Amino acid sequence: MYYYIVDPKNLSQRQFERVQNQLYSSLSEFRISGEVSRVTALRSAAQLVLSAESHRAKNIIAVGSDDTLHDVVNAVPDDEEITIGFIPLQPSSFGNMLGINSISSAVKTIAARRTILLDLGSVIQTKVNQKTLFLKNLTFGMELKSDLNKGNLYSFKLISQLFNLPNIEVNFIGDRKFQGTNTLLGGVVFNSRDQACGSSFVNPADGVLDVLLLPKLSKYQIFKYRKHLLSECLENIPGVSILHLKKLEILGPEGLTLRVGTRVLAKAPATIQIEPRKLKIIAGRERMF
Amino acid sequence: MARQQEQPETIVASGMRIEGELKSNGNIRIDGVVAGKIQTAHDIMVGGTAQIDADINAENAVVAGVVAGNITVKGSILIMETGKVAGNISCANLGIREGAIFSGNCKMSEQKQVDLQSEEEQE
Repeated sequence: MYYYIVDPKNLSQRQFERVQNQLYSSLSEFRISGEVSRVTALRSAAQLVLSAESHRAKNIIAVGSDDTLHDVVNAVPDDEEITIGFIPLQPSSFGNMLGINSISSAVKTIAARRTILLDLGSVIQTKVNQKTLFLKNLTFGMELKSDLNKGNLYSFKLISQLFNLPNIEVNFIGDRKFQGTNTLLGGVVFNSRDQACGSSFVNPADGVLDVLLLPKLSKYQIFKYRKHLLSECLENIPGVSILHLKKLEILGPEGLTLRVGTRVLAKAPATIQIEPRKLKIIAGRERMF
Repeated sequence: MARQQEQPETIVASGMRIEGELKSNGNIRIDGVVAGKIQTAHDIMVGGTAQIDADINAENAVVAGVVAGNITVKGSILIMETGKVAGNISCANLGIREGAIFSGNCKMSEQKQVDLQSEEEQE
């Protein structure tokens, strides 16, 4: 049985009605209809996953944005043999990675039901011992104001904020084998990503996290490499360290935020690691790994 | 899926300081400071700005920076003009460019010696 968790976040009512019609007709066409629940202010995606469990659904499909998929994955319990699917209602980098870039292609993929196993990253904030899973990447440092238009690379506001990014002295332990220190502008811990950067070393099925650490840069370098900085293609910036780890413990500075997009998942000190369990997810033929 | 596949390059850039055991399944490039032990089944490149106070185990090594420690490789070691090695070297092939500094003992592998002997016999 398919259980669809539909999250209309970031869509206007009109846009949502349009995509909803498209979704329902595609589901009927491929005969994969099931129960549909909608995320509202009163019912979160996590609550709907619990509801799906009570209906003994073995296929939970997140319909919405990358955030919807993130919420669903975090709500699925460890010990369940549940298959996750994803239907993006808006441009989605995770959808691109899975070879799904439209509602029709996503529905077709779910109907074909080709499942793969993906690594899951997790971050545990040491002080509160709270674990959050992530599929794509965690970022620290390089924090820009959320209202900033990143599309215009010549925007005075954008360049001014980039120039004023603080440097941070980061202490970490890698795989419990070595301790590292470096003054950084920021860093990204990748579990998976789409291949917009042109390199393919991040593999969501290789059992390791790929850690990119960006050193402090001169204003000239920041201006020159701002495109890579904004798209988190840090490997294209000279002087970046690249480590491949199963476990990264960020010891300090205390309070350093670890984010997925603009959402803060944890604050240092925190442990980021590959989870022993894998995520069973439906992916398309054109997936990028 | 391919869990044990070869990892891509590990890079310790200039400005990074690492203490402990750095292990990789892929190539390693070091431009920063490392103290402890470095181990890879592939090649290691010690850049001009690197300062290594560690034993190195690798397949091949190119040293353009400073290494204080023993280097053990299965293949070849090349010490570049700017390279400084204070420690013992164990390898099959050794190259030292003019200007490089090497202070220590060098042990070439048995295979290489046999090869040399057979070449001499042929001559």
